[in-house]
Amino acid sequence: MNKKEIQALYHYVDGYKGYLLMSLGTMFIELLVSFMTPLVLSVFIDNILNQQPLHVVFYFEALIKALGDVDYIRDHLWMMGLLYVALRSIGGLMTFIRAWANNRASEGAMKRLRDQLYQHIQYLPYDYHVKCQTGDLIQRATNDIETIRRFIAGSSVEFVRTLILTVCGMFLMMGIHLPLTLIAFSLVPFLLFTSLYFFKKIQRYYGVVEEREGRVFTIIQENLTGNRVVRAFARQRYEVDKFNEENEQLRLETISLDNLFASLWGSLDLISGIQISLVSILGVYYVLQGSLSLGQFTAFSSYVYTFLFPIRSFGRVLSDFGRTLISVHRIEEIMNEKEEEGLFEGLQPSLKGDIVFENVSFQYDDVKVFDHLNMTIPQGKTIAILGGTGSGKSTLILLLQRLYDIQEGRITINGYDITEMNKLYLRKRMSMVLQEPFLYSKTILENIRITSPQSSMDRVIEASKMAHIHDDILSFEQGYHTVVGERGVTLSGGQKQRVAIARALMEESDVLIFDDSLSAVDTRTDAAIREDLKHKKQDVTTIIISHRITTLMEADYIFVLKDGHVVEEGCHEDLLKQKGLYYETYLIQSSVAQ
Amino acid sequence: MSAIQEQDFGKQKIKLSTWKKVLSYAKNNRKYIYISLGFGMITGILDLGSSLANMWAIDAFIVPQTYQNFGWFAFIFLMIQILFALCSFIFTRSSGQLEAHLAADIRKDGFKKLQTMSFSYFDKTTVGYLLTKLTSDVNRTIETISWCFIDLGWGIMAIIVGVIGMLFVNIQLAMYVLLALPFLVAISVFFQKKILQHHRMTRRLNSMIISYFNEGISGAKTTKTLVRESLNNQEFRVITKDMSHESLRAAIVSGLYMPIASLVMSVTVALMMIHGGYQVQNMSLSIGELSFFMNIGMMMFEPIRSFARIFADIQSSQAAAERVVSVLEAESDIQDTPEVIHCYGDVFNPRLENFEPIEGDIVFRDVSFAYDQGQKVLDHFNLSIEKGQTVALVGATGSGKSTIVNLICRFYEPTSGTILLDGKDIKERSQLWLHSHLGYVLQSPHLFSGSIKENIRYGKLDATDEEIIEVSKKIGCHDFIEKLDLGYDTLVGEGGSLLSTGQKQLISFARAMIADPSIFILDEATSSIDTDSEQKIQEASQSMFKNRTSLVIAHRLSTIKDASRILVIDHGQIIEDGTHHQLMQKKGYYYELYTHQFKEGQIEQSLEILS
Repeated sequence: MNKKEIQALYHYVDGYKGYLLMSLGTMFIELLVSFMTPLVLSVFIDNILNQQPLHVVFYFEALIKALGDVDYIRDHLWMMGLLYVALRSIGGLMTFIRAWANNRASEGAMKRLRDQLYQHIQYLPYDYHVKCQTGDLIQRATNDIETIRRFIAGSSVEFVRTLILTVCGMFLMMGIHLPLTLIAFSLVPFLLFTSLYFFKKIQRYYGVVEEREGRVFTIIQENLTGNRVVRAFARQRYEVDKFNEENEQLRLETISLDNLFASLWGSLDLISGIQISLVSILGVYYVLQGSLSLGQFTAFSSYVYTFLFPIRSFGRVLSDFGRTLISVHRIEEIMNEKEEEGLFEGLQPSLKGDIVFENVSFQYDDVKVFDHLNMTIPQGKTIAILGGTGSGKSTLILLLQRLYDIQEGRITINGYDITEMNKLYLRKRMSMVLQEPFLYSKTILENIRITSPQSSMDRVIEASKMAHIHDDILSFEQGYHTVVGERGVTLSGGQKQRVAIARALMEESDVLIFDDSLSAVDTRTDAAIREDLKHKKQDVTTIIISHRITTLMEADYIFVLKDGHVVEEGCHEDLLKQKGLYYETYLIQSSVAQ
Repeated sequence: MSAIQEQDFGKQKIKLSTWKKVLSYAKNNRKYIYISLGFGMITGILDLGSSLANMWAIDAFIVPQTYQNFGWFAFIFLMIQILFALCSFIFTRSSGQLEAHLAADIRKDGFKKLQTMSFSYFDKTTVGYLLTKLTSDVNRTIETISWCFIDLGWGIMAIIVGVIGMLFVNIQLAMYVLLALPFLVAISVFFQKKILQHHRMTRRLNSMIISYFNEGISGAKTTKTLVRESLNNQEFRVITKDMSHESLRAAIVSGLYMPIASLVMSVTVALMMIHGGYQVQNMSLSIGELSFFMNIGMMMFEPIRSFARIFADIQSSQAAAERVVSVLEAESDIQDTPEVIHCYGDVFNPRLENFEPIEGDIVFRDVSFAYDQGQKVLDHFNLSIEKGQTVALVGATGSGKSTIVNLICRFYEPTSGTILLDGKDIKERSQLWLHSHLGYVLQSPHLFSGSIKENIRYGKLDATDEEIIEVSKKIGCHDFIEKLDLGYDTLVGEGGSLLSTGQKQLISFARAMIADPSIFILDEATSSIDTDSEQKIQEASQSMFKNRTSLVIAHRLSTIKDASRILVIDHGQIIEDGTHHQLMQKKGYYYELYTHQFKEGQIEQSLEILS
């Protein structure tokens, strides 16, 4: 049922399987050591102290003989002490090597998985990022990877180890006393059955709790990001009620999960307790009967701990495995999303030419935006676009950057169809400033020269001055080294927009696009920025989306969009004469003057 | 990334007061602590019991070769094991309950606390940071504290009864264990310290990885337009490389701990073996007693190990616990006085029957205000607004417009001076009373995930569908909503991400309208809405604003020209005050601002074209 996930998990450790094998290898030495250590005690009690005839596995007998035989050792008890310490040390060394190898494998594999995932997310299409749940995605990229890492570092090898230890241990113990071994292992099926039974249940409950936690997380997140709205509408009580409802559910579900765990541990402890009791009680009985020596009995008791106890963790290993498969599934869901195509191959022509939309049709899932749109944007001019809410202005820009692909028609720049171009190149030569720009939590300086960290300070200052943000930056205590975003200073909307503009101006682009990106800047600064742009970026095609008539009227050419069509186009004078939408907008906004 | 708070990962001393505060939430669940402790202790005694039983078996049955009392032995042995399983069930259950209750109660209280905090708190603390405090920090803190009681109870008991048992059986052999214990403690302390150091490093790197993912995901759209994918990848790879190196180093250190400690223990057991062996040969020690010592010798290490681990766990959760407590103990800088609460109730239990209506007279009397960073925004500011006026605020970015509005909403409080509402100091009535009469629309509108309908209904929880549609029609967003496939049931996405900024503004406008507030505040509320739609809103507003006080901040002058009063704000001062016509005639700042919008001659030119 989980075949795909298991395969994926198997591939995660490609190239690191050697370490895992090595880790398994240490186990055989460890097995031998764990078998021999109790024998040291057993021989010590039976043969050396109790003076019974030596009767153990041949190699151990050979070892004792090599040390000078029982009588010699009886006078030199320290030899047994030393043997004990030596065996324990070898065991310790193996434990260490195993830990090292496991971590080597898990850390290496996880570094690669993290890198792949991060890169993959970067290259997922724009549409994916519009629709995705940020919190959920971050949760997967961090928590789920951690779950997988833990499994590789611990449980994966532990699983095999338990199996080998149990099976080999059973055969070794049979060599000592068959009936007692059978009795000792008689309860293993119960242990396994209990583990499996709870494993299924726990996995299900775990999923429920995870999901609820996600919901609580979302409520807190939304409440905090919208805290101004909550306060302005005095909705604190409503929010608390909403939160409490989920929080109480989470409480109850966590308690159920915890109770399930308690039952699991209790049952496992009960079964193994009975097992140990049987071995101890019947062991004493067999010793009294004479079919088992005292030393063997002591050794047997410790074998039960070494070889049988690991089975108790079988349930945990299994439930870890279950959790890991869920995590793998969640990671693979992302990994299986298709990356954007055409990022690295394709033409890289000069974009110094007209931008032409020919019969372009486009629709989002079910919402039609453009139906056979035609428009030509002349090179090197300043173009303004006016349009109502939802008229398709922003979509137009997304199409131009190939963040979405059109379904019909074609878009050409300088005569080249953009679908034949290298996407990264296309975007690189076209700088866009979004309406609600995103700044990285780095310093302002790093943000402005984000695509070319080697750029000189002079260039950064030049761009900042052009975007009229230089003075604002200097007013901060740490100037250009002020950290913005998540853990730094919060910039106002207008400041963010201007930093984003400075960032865009750092590029040597052929097309500059402002998607209503001066809306939070006051009109005076707005005008000054545009004035500067006109002089310094003369050869660059500039596309400005705006609602401000003062911005629109200064453009060389204006398009008016309505319901996905160009309804008016021309220069300011032409459009006024047409007495359409533009004219109306003009009247409303300029009526202030009369 | 350089700004990640370093103190989280620096040295942390365990502060008892922090944990006391955390445990104070166990008030109603204290029994679980006692149960975990108690049954942990019983387990410690049972451990010794089974070692003693083994010794008994050898000395009482095996060596003398007798079956006398064997039934008792079998019974007692079985009982010990059954009791053991019972204890394990009980303490796992009780610690689990403690964990669930503590986490739920702390989250509940923390969330509630955050609802009472003022804007200035959120200005200083980012959402991501608070979110971590209330989720992973709470989980981490509670997990540490809930499960430590079992080990604590068991460890204390195991050491006490173990030592007493050994001393009773054979003092000489007991000395070996007692001598080994200090070494084990020293080794444990040394390694736990080292492990903790590495742990801090890896946690720091881990939180960097999280922030990179955070940015990689929430900034993905911007990254695409900037074509920064490969640079991002490079940066990320540096961190993950550090992470894998550091983790491996941490694994090596912690991998050394157990083998070295168990080496010390095996040397001790070997020494007891030799010494005890001679004693058995001298007949001064029985074989059963010797086997008891070898058993218990290995066992004495466990409690020390678990103490070391508890200590390390608590130490490494200290920072998380402090962050949790910082939320629980946070106090809002804007508080209602006890008298006000007595009359109006608090945020969660308002006494709505005492809420009087707002007329809408607003007076600023000698108000000064500075944000925490220190720059003074308002200095002895005076203003009086009569009820029913529509007042527009105009001025450059940073002139103090938003501050004035925020002070009226009491989102901040003046550093000095008073604000009067209907002639009464704003502080004499509760914040909730004020806010429940406000209609506040922000420039960057926040919508909650859910449907459009639900979002509009946020303004009036009991609004019917008809009311929602009516309001939407009034402000002109009905048409675009109807065009959507699911209409009013269309989901808006996280923070409204599936809608355009203009659409979000329209919906947030509808949300404010439906609340039927007494005072309207529009802070750049229509900046991203096209002029046509804005016109509709204006018309709707005209009727809405009638008889209500409203304050409008806008950059687009067409938005405000119909206001009954326009205030031009510059550096926290009112420099012009009047109607549009008065201000235009005055030819001052407003006039200049206007002519800046339309360059000289442009209007005349345009008029010529039209004529």
